[in-house]
Amino acid sequence: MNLKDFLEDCRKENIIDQSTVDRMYDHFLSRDKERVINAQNRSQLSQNSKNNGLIITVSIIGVLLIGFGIIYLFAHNWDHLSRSTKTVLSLLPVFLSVLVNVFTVIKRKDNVIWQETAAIFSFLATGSMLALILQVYQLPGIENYFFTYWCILCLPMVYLLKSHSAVFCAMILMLLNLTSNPMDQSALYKIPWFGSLIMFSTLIPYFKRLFTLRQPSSLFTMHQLFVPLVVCLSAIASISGPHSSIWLILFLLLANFHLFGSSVLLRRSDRSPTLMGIIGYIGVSLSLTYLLFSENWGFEKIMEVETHDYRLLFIPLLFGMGIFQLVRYFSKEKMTVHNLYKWIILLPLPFVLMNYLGINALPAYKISLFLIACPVIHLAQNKKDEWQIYPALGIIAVIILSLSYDVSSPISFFLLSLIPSLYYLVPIPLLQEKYKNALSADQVIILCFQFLFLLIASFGGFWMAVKPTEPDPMTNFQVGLIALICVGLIFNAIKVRKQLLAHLNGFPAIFSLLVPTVILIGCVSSANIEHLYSIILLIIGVVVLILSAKKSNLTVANLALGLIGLVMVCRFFDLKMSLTVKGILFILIGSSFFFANYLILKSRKHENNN
Amino acid sequence: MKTTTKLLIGLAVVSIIQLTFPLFFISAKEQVIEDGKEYLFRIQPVDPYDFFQGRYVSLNVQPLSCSLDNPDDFKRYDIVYAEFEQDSLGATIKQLSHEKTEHSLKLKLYGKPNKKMRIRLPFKRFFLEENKAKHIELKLSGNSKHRNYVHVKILDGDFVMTDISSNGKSLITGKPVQLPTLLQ
Repeated sequence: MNLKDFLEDCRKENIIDQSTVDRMYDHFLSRDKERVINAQNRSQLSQNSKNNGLIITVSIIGVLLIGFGIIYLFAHNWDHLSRSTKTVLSLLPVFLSVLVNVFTVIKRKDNVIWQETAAIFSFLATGSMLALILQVYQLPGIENYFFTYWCILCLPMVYLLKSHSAVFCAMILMLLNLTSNPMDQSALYKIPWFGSLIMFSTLIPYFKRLFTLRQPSSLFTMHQLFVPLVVCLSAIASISGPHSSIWLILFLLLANFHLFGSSVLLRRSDRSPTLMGIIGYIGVSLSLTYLLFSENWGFEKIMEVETHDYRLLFIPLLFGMGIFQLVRYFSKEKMTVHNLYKWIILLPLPFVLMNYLGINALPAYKISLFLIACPVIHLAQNKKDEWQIYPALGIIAVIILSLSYDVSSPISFFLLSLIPSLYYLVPIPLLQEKYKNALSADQVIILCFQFLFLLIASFGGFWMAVKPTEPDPMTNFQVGLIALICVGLIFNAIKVRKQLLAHLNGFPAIFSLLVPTVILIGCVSSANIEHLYSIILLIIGVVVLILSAKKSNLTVANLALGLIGLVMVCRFFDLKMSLTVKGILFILIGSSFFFANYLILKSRKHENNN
Repeated sequence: MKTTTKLLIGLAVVSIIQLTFPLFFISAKEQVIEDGKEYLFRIQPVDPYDFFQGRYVSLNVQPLSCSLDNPDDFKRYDIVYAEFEQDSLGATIKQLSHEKTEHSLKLKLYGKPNKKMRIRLPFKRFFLEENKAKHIELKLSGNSKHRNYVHVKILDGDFVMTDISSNGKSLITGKPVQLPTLLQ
């Protein structure tokens, strides 16, 4: 029923009178017209901005090409010119760029294309001028603050021309500046990273404007990625000195970025995580696992640095900044279990202190990381929050990986086999209903790993190699932690059993529990039970083959046959059978491929005919 | 209109800085070329596979050995000033000190100070046209009996490399160069 009919109906039922009907219909028509015009305008506008984007890109590329062409032309005849000619020629591009800049400011004030191209041209001209002058006087740029001069001379373009691409140029130059290695690095203001820091701080007004206006939106998102990236890369690139201090700085930086990403300034209206928040969170989680792999953290030597290394100042500075952001965040927000994890910035503090005082902090650190990751996973499962569960899961996986380095070899194989099961058994409740009857791509990869573990375990030679005659006894701590991980995994499987059983009748879940269990049996038993694994694989192959044949699924049936064939091939190497028997087995397997396919195709045809 | 004027003033300031900054740089270097004292440093034959990158010749200047009377005065990574004297085999270090003198060169001590230590010199690259660089590469690496020198002007800690010569002939212009009497 359209509006006219509806109003007519209302009039007939004596709800409204005729004049009201007319007024309402007129109003509806005028609004409708307005809406159509608005929609047209908007589509035109978006068309325009799309075209603009294309033109900007093309013109930027054009300026780059022309700039390089000019430089190349000069360079070609360079040696025949006298020193004064060379100097004048190298200043020429800057003259040109100044003219272009002035023209842009006076005549093309609001033209984005002119602003961007002028800024890029200015960058290129200044860079080529500096490079040529340094070359005339035989100075390698890397030892002479080439990038510092270049960046400082061009930075004002960001504000004078309101150019966005200039920001990217400047950020690249700041990164390059870190590679320079000038001779006199002793004073604070002469150190390259200090220069980069100062130059980066001049961009803060730009970022403040961008992050408050959130316009243009594409750059708003992009710089949420680029700012942490550039800052963290700079922290890594300027490494010299104890690794522990660099690690601490990196961790504090990422924690700060996470807090900043979820602050009022960047937060989205629906409270969904911003890009910077996600990057910060994942970075923090991964950097926490770095300490798991080194026995000697080296925090006790953190004060013994060379006198001109001022980077240690950043540790208290960044820490204070993080605490400030935290306090600000929680002064406006109520502290609940869901945002409690933001206190993660305090997590390494006691362990770093322990290490500083000479106490072995690694076991305590491992176990507390695990104990913290478990509730995060639990809460995130209830909230169906993927971006918290994956980093937490990653932490547990790395804990298991680092444990597998510590313990004697058969158990480490068991630990490795836990990692794929971990992935499958934990995040399944996040699966949506539509995936109920299919395996997603990542699950297929996990399954392949599990089959690979079983195949490796089915070689007698493997167990001979890994089982030492006199195994090192495991410490109580290691046994306890492994038991804790297994218990946690089983508990989680029980907790989400409904979802696990709903997915493909629970087959993958049962399989994921089965694989580590049988490998554990192999690890602890003194008898050689490698044939058990071949039998399990064969049984799985046959069961899947029968099931898929019933459903006439050709792909899965062939994969099951392939699995059986693979097990046979593996046994070909280590079973002591006569060659005749082996040959007959292979012929059987090969012909069964044809036979199974033939049967399935036939039954399919049969169904189709019916 | 007001913002435009502001922008223009800003632009003018930046442009002036952009154009004058290199002039300061150039005038400082010209000063060295004008007033600096020339020293000739002996170049070792170069490894022909390693030293030619792009449009410059990598110089393999012989590291100079220097005897220190009081090595405890210096620390590793110190900035020092070296005075040179011309010898029959190229320039050698006369003395190292923390004080700048008229014809001394600014250096960084990369090794640990000892009574007898080797000093790395900052003459590493000589920028040239590609074909010429290849040609010079052959000349420098071909015959170790040739006397190859890099000509460096030194003034107030700063330096400019002006030429490379082989057996008294400039490799850049091909003309004979004036050699100090000791080297002839």
